Amino acid sequence: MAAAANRARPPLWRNVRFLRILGQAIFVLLLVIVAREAVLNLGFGVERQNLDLSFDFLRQRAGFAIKEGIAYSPNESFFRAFLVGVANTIRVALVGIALATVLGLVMGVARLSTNWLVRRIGQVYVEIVRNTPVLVQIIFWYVAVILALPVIEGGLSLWDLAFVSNRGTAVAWFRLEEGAGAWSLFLLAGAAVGALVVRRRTKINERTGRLTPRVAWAAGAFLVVAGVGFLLTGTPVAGDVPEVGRFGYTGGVQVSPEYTALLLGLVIYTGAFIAEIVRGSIQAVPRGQKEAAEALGLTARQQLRLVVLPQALRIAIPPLNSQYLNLTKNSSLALAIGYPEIVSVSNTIINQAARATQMLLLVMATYLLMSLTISAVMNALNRAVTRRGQA
Amino acid sequence: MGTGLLAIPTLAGSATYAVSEAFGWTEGLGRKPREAPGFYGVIGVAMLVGLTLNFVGFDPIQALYLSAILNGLAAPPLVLLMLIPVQLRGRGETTGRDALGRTGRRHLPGDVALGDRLSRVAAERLTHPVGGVEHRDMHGHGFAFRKRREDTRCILYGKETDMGIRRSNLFGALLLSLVIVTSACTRGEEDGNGDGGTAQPAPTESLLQTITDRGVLRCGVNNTVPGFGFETAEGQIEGFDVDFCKAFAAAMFGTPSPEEGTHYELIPIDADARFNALRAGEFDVLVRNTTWTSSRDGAEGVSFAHPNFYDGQAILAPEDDFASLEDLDGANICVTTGTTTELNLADYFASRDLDFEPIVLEDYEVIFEAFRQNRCDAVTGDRSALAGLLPLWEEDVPNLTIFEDVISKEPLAPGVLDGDDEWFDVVNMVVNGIILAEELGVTSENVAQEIEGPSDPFIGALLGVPVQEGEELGLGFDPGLAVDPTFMQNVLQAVGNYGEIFERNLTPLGHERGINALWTDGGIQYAIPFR
Amino acid sequence: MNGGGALPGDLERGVIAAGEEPVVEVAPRRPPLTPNEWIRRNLFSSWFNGVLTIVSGALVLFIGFRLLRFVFVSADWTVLKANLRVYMVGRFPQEDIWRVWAVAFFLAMLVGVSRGVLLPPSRTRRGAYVRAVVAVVAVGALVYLVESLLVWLLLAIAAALFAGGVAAGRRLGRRLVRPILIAWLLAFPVVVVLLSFGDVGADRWGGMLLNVIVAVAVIALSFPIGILLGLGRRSSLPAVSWFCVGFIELIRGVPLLTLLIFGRFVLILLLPPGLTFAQLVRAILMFTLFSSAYVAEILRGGLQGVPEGQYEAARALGLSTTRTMALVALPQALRSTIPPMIGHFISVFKDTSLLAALSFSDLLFTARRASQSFEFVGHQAEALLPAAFLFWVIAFSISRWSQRVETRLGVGER
Repeated sequence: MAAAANRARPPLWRNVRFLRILGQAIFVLLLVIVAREAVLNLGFGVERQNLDLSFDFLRQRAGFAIKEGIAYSPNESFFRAFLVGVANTIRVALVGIALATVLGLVMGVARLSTNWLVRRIGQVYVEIVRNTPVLVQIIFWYVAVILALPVIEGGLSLWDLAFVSNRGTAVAWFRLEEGAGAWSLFLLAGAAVGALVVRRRTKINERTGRLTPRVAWAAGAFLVVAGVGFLLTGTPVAGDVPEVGRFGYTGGVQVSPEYTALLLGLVIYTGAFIAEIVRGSIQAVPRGQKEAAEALGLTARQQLRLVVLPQALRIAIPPLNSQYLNLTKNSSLALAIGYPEIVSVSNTIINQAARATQMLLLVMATYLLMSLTISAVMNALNRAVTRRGQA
Repeated sequence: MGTGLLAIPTLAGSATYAVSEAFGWTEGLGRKPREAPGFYGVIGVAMLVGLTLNFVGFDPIQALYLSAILNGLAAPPLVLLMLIPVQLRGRGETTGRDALGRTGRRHLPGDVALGDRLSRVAAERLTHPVGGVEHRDMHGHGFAFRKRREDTRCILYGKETDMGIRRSNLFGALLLSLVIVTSACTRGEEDGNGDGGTAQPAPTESLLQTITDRGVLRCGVNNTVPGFGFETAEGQIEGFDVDFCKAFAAAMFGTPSPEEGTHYELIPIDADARFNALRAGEFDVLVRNTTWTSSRDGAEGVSFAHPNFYDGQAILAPEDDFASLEDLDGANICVTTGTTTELNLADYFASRDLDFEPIVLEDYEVIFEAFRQNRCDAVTGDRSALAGLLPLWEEDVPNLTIFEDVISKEPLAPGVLDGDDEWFDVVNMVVNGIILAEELGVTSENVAQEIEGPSDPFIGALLGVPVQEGEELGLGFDPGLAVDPTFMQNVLQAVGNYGEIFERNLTPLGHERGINALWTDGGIQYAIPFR
Repeated sequence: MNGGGALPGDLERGVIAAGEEPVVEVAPRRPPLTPNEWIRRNLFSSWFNGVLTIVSGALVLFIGFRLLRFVFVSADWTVLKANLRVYMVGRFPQEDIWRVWAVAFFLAMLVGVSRGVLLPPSRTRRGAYVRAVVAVVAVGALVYLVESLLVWLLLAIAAALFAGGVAAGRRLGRRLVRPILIAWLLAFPVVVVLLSFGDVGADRWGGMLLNVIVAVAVIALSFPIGILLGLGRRSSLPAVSWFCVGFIELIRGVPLLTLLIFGRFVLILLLPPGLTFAQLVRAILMFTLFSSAYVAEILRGGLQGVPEGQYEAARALGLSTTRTMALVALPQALRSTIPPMIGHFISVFKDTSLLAALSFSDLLFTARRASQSFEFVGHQAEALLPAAFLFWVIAFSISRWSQRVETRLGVGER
């Protein structure tokens, strides 16, 4: 057993081990006391209102209409209304993330351009947008731009295929008719052919040492197969041209003005931050890489495309993750312009059903879930790109 | 009581003995405190903790219950800790190195009671890292180093387990937390079922008392609806509902000319925040053209007084574009968020097989911004509000009209929070009194005269003035409300009767009495008698 | 080529033989570019660049022209003129407005002294040009907007106090750092007392004043709480660290607006019946929780940046965990986290605009209201742009100054 020297322990009140456990116990005790107080108060307060803390009310009839989103009618339940809000949030978040990344990439590269004017434009854009609150920007886009668009009768139109007014935007799109199923098989076949063409072209490139455009070849092959299939299945695609109605557009792909304003505000705002991230990560790529690429005779554009950007984007993934999360969370500001996303719909539900605690719990849980999903995807992406070897 | 007083020292003493033995301190009530500091320390700490628990609000019976649970939960692990080494008794040996680095087998002594010895070992292992060495530095601070990884073996479970610093702490902390949380949950259940009042002192002060003490009445009002509650260019809020607020203040504080700031405060509030603000106590009464509905009475916890305006929901639209409601099929209609209008519109249109798209915005100002730019084709809201806004809006959007269709009933009434009946009665009776005054023909002009000598007993009862009969002074009528029986005198001198209030605020905007006329005049305003 | 000039007498060691003199090569100095060369090099270095220049140049000119035309010709700024007071201070009672001026003077002096101490005077010609342009524009705008002579006088006094503070700061230098820190810490309670002492309730604060007060309150409160959270997250006590991690991740995963709505609807239910806070206080509370989670994360990064050797050395010296943290780790961590911390404070200031979504009368809400009143309906852009500009000016100035302070303090260089 342990020797006597081990038993020379300091007395209890100076014994670090004991104090640590005691400290944690006291901490947990305090937490439990506070939580208990809060929960009891909550129960008491809720009872005073003749309400409860259950989620059963979500099955009640909603009674209110929502102006855009997945199929919904006022006869559906509150929960269904909430799901409409979730769908709307996802709609704006995904498109926003994609567009903001593109804008951020372009602006980030622009800030490092050799062209003085382009550099300055990028700088001005970033400095102005980053330092203005996002709510101000969203409201500005909605109130000063979208609402100021012409009314629907006098709306702008682009060759009668796309229309813009303050009731929204409508763009001509495709409508699939019968035969589309068969055509999709042709599309799959085309994709497979394209992949094969890429493989063959890569082998040829490596053998001859020339750089033939692989993507162009593959795209060509795909288009040929798709076109043949299109004709064979009886042209199963018709145009869906929007018509100018009295109150809105019918047909085509439509986006409401609120959606447009929210998307514009979010994309421009987040784009500025992504531009800074892209600039920082390009500058973080070791200079030797660029110099080596230059020594190998690559043009500036090739250097960027083949050497610098891939490494830069790898570095940029963690901060990009937090910007994507910010964009998703900032979509909650649609409350101010009437776009029916999660917070806006939940606000209406709270006003009609008065069960604020449950709704807020639901809303927070949903946002947490979305944040976790986005972070998980980005982390997987991060792992995937770093496994291929360090820069 | 006596049994309890006998039991508690015994229990406390036994707990102290147990703790001291576990940590190996000098123990015994026979010793002096200086000789056994840890022992007496535990007694002292236990006393303090018990005292504090009392002040924090723990029920002592609950605490006894808790300690029973603690005992129960602690028993299985302890028994386990005693049993397992007993199982290993056959081995009787250990491996690994001791503190001096010697390897080799060592036999456990068998002459001492094994369970006792190993319980102590268990306790020691819980609070110290295995093989850890406690040192003191030159300043007397104690800390421990963890020995090299391969040296830390745990003999407790008879196999090689690495129990580092983290784990022993974790174990101890988890055990304690588990125990406490379990006890807390059980305690919570009991409270929920039985007396919710153990930790919940009921609000002792009535709202009426609070208002009287404060000396200022706070009213939640609108500031965007002309005629009812509208902010003028100078920043003053005026309107029908505001006059009622003045009336309440006059009744509460017994003054015939209540002043803003001194007797009452107007707090503009949004439609979707009004009930929360009322519940949070930001104001005492909500006079904000609020519709009395069953769900607001129930779920929102509001008590509504006698309606001061019977209204209906209507739709406003440009006359040139829409001849009737049916033309609005598929239109975009602006509604205010947090109101009954959202629901009513959906139901009304659905029942007529009409379709629409709601544009939900915060209040009439934002709605007007959207409406004038043709973001929406029509606006829906209370007819009275729309009628008040129409002349202002027509300057920008010409030829507006309000359709005759009544989408829903909207009885507008002042609201107070559930729970204070006295305050509710005061508010309710002030409204009734105002209507009754018009029925009886008392106005702000002749009220002084009526106070001197009421023309009939009904007026006397209303004003709380004793009717003189001969030389005897009869007692004035006292309805037993929490305000002075002469409160109507002040109210009428301050704002006048119902007709006067209506004429002052709503008639200039073109409102007609309509169903808000007295029941004797073809309307439905009917006051409760003062008797 | 001789060694480049005679050395001062005391450095001369002796005669070096001519052949052994070290040859100092100095890179040939480039003559400054002529405008033509500059254009060619920076704007038209390749055909692609040339096209880019033309296209973006056209875009810039177009937008710039439209903007200038809007600002000076077609816009009707009366909405701003009439509402200037409401923009700045909301419905603050007129007779108590001297309090706001007192606060403004106090802050002007404090900011001036801080600037003087922390930043060297900018001596570049470009800096001078920029400042001249800014001064001219500012004075011009004020001439147009402010009609009252008294306000002019007070603004002049504030500007003078600022300039005086800058001069004093430069003169007295680093000795003032500690007093400045204490003054900033005291600034918030002093401001609150000044503003509400007497009879002005918090519901009268509005406009830019509300944004500034909320921002300062949130920053002041969330800094210590965030530090505690950050330290708790690193604690070796599992109970504490798990709680802190859970709390931080929960708060960072939900939007700020949701937290504010929680504060509005649910928070009072959690308090004992009868106990209630004003709506503004609740909003500040939830805001503080939000901000402290981010401060904790920034601090975590900073603490991770402190070399492990520092901790070990502290241990060797016998410092307890608390002392190690307080005396060794935190000072280093805080120093390295100044840039992200300041960035976070800037975004706290920007996020105070969210109060408008909950109908608090802050600057953004006031701007929207101003354009909705019947007099000024239709002039939304004129009402919103000044509000946006005010936000931008403050955020931009702080971020610029913090960049210069960083380079001056050498943060981030080791």
